[in-house]
Amino acid sequence: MNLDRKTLKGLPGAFSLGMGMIGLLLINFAIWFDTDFPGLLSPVEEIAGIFLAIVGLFMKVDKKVALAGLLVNIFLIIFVFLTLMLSWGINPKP
Amino acid sequence: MTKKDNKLHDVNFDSILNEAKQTSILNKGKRQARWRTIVITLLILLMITPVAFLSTLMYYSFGNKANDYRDVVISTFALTEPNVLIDPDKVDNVIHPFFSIDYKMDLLKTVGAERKWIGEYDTTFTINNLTKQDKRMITEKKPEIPLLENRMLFHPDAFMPYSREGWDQLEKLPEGTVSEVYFSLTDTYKPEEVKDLFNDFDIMLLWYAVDTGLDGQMKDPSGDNEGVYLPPIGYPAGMQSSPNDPFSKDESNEKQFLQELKFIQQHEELATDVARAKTLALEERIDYLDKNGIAVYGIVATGPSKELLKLRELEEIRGCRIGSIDFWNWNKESGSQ
Repeated sequence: MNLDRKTLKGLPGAFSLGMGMIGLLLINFAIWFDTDFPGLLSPVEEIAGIFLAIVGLFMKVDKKVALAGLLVNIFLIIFVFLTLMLSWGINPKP
Repeated sequence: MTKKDNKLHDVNFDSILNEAKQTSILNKGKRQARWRTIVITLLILLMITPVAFLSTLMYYSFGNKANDYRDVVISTFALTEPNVLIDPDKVDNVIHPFFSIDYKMDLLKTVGAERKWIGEYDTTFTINNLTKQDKRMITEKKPEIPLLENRMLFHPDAFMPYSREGWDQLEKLPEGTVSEVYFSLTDTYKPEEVKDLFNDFDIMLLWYAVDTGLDGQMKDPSGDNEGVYLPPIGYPAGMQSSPNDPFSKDESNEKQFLQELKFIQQHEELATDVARAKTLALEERIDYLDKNGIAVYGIVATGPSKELLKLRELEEIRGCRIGSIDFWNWNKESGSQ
């Protein structure tokens, strides 16, 4: 399949948004089913998502998608950080 | 009309873009718009739960609400359920989005020298209200609502519907057993006097029932709940091992008893729900204790059944009722106290 230059340039932003949406989906599952996914609380995926979004923003193609990816991944990092911080304050065990 | 408009007007678009190309561009635009709508809708839907979850976490964290609710439950059990404790180190909590929090707690009881798991207590709070509670006991079926007929400890001024029953049962128990027995006293005594009274016996004191001025009638004398049954109030006799326990090793249990009562008074509605009572009348009872100090009218004790039977000789004991019985485990070195 031949991908034109425009489509290729839009890929980092789309990947970033896709990763962010998968992260959101996993968090929804984890909350509703009171379960944990390995690496869910590790920020590696979100950092990669932010990096891809920044690359996407420089590509000047589908900037809105890259921006959405950036915002979603930043939200995920804030979510993970706040969840850990606030949960530690609730019912800490020795 | 400007020069530019004139120029545009002169262009024959049909000659540049044939119909097929126009349709293709239109379809591409439609597809993109449809995808954009789907992605935005999905994003909004996926954000609802995490945002609600974070808001719930913040609500319960700030102002220490989650820990206060947990502590009220633990203290209420320690103060209103004779010889039933919640292990504060094994409290599990699950936070749900939309402002509710579940607690799962283990209920423990001391029979002989062993602290045993006797059931679970699950509770759900939504915003400031206790919306669900479920107490599942494996060793005994306790009544859902505390009533006079189920009372185990009686104030000297109260009518006691039994006198010999407990002693007869203790007499018939085999020697190789340990029991948990509820003793009602003929008068009220200071906690030190109670300790001295039982000092010569090889038993362990577990819980003191304290005279709060209303225990003779066992009913709330005033207010909206006039005539409603009042559950007993007391405190554990032994020191607890966990630093998270409401009764710590740092101060005497008598002193901490009053502190804990005043703490649950701040959440009286919740404490009343947890105790499954209609009222705890904490204000009147705390006033009485502040004026008159702590006097004990009943105790819960455990030990070898035959050693407990020896207490029949004490004229200070009015009667007893047996709670739980277990196989011999009276090895104090491995005890949990």
